[in-house]
Amino acid sequence: MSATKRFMNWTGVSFTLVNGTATAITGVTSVSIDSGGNLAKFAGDGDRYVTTMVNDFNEPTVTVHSADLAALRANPVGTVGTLSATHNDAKNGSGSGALTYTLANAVVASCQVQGAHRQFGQGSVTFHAFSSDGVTNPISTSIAN
Amino acid sequence: MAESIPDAVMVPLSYSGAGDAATRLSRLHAEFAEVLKVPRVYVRHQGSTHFLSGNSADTLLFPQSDPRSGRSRYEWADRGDGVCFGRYRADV
Repeated sequence: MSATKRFMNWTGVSFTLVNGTATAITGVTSVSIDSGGNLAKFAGDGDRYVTTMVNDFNEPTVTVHSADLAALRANPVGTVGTLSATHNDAKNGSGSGALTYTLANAVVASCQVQGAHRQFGQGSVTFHAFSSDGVTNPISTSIAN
Repeated sequence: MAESIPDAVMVPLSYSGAGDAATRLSRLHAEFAEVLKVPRVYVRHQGSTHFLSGNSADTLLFPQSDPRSGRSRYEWADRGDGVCFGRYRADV
């Protein structure tokens, strides 16, 4: 079945340490991916508007929301690894059209968990990322054909 | 002698053509998975280009922890239409 170009639900969310140990994060309710671009703007002389705008820096972040609190808390802040998450095609699941986002050099930045009476405990973990060479984008995307 | 299989591909953004991101990603995957001989093509947005390879950990330059920091990990060759095939340098 051809890709719908519509997406629903996340699967295969995992954080793999540099030594190869993988933590599967289940019960995922949401993943947000932010390319974290910064725009440097210039104006001078009699300009009333910005006349030059360049993307000079990027700080990508990914936040995973889940009910799997043990997985969210599995790795302390500062832990480095690779984060992977697949946004399923709305009809084909993880098949044709599903997008997999991979965050290389992902670093655990923060983890929040909470629970209330008669509610499922929920939490989130946020990853920042660095570039090994300073120029390669840590975020890569692949598509299932 | 037959050309060896490239280790990476650098593609101008315009090469992937019109359409939404998923359509362009699919187009890149369809062509370059075969070129790179990999089951999954990892596509990185690099400003004016896309950097494609079969490993999400690949980088354009040697890492800053390496004595060769700042130098390209690949020898790039334009195939004639702006698409460049990269092969690991001999010292990689």
